[in-house]
Amino acid sequence: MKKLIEISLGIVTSVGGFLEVGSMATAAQAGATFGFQLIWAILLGTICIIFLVEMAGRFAAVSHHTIIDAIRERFGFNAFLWPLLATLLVNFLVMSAEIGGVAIAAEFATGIGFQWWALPVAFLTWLLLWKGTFGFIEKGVAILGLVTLCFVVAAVMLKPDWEAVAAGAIPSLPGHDAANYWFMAVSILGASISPYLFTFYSSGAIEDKWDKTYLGANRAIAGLGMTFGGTISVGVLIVAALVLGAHGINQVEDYHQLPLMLIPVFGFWGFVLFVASLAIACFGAALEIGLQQAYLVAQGFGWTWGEDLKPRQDPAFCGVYTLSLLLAAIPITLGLDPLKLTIFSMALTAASLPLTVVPFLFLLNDERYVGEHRNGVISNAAVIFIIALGFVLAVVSIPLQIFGGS
Amino acid sequence: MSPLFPVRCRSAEGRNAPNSKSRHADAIRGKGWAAEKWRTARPLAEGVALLLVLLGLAACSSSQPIEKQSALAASAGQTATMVVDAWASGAAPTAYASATLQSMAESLAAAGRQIQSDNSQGRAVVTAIGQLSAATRQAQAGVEAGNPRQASQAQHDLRMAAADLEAAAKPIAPKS
Repeated sequence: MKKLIEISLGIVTSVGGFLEVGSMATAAQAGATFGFQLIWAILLGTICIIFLVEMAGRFAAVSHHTIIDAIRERFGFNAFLWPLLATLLVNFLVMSAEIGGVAIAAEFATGIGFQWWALPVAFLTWLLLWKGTFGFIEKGVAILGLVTLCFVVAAVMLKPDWEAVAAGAIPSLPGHDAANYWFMAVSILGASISPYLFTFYSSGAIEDKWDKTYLGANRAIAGLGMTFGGTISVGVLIVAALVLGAHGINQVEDYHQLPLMLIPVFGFWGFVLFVASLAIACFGAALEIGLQQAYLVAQGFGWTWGEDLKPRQDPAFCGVYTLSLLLAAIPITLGLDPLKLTIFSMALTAASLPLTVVPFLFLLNDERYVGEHRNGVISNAAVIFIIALGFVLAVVSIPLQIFGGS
Repeated sequence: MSPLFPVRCRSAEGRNAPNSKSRHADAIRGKGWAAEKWRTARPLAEGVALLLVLLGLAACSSSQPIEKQSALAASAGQTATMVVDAWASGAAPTAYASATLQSMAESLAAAGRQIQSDNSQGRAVVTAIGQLSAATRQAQAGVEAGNPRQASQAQHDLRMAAADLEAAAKPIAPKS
């Protein structure tokens, strides 16, 4: 019974981690511009992240190492420096975008410009990290994040043509605006296969003191949780296609356009639900990425770390998230458009994938770490596929940013 | 069974503070270490700098063809219409509706400027975008004044201008 509750909470937590400003914005843009045609990109991203999260959790449960910790130990500091810098940079941009997402939600709710909210949001995030425990942060925000299910409810209420939805699950060539189509596909994959998701998950497994008895729970949480999160993203895409696209809003270039997705379905409550969904999903992601920045640096340099420790026990760890949050709030305070930053950072996330995924191939096959629980043929094939996909995305993302980006 | 490797998530207890002599030696070693690390990291730093320059250039490349600007303007016009609808039915708060209309008016003005500077053939498109922009401003004034009649009139103008834009943009739209 206890395990069942833990699995349920884990699934809910995974939803909270999956859906953030990147997945919401990219799905909304894709749905408005290309209808259901890019559902396949969300499905592909979801399948990839299920594999990576399962491996990260299995690795942590068996070896009692996080992925980052093991990369440094197994490959040495010089090799570790590359993924460290790439991930720190990408996480910085994504965290800034998440703070921007909460700031936009605050602007919608109050009418006060988003720039004014960036520092208060960063402070509130810092306060929760400083005072809260890992369990409180992980589960509290995740349970609140269930509000994002309103997109799935809206999608069902809009009665889409399910055959057309199913057809969107099969990759197809665009009828128009090819560069933008592929740029959107890359951004969706970047939003779905975020390195912070699986590196945070492995740190969480250590914080929650997982061992081999959690391998089954890990599989269930990775599979069901990420599928659940992917379903909500598909819900956002369907709603965007049936509301924004159907009203002739085919170009979503401004964050003010996003609440219009839910208003025709739920009326004023649609506006409220959108604001709550955006605020909670982005706030949860900002908390997770803030922690992840601290995990990255602390694990990389071998410092004492742990969200459940008192700040005086791991001052450097706390210092990293404090500085990260402050720096990430600056671009939004200066008025950088959060939606443009989001789309840009998602494409960059996709481009950085090979650096963080290649080590999986070695670590998950190293018997010194995972013993008999090393990768099988299917898991290795999945990692090789994700690495190949990551290389393609790394090569194409910059030209697409120039020719297809907004 | 104990794990093969120690867990890194450790408490601060039991960690001895180094004495001043060893701190000094660490500092000297640290300089050499830093230089060595910089030699290793330099190609990476140069690569990151190049990537950032490329991405910066990408972000600054805002020149887009008339088709793209027409599509952006049409979406902005539809957004304005939808927001006025939502505000009139009480489904969108005044602050949000006003901010959205202002943002759409700015997007429309920017789209008009972009076409003017890029293409002298698109005068009809520019005129229609100008009408859309003016109607959006009018709608914003109506919303801010809490005047549904003015907003409704502006909405009518928005629909007319949107139809004009569609007609003007049709000859230059790409064949799908």
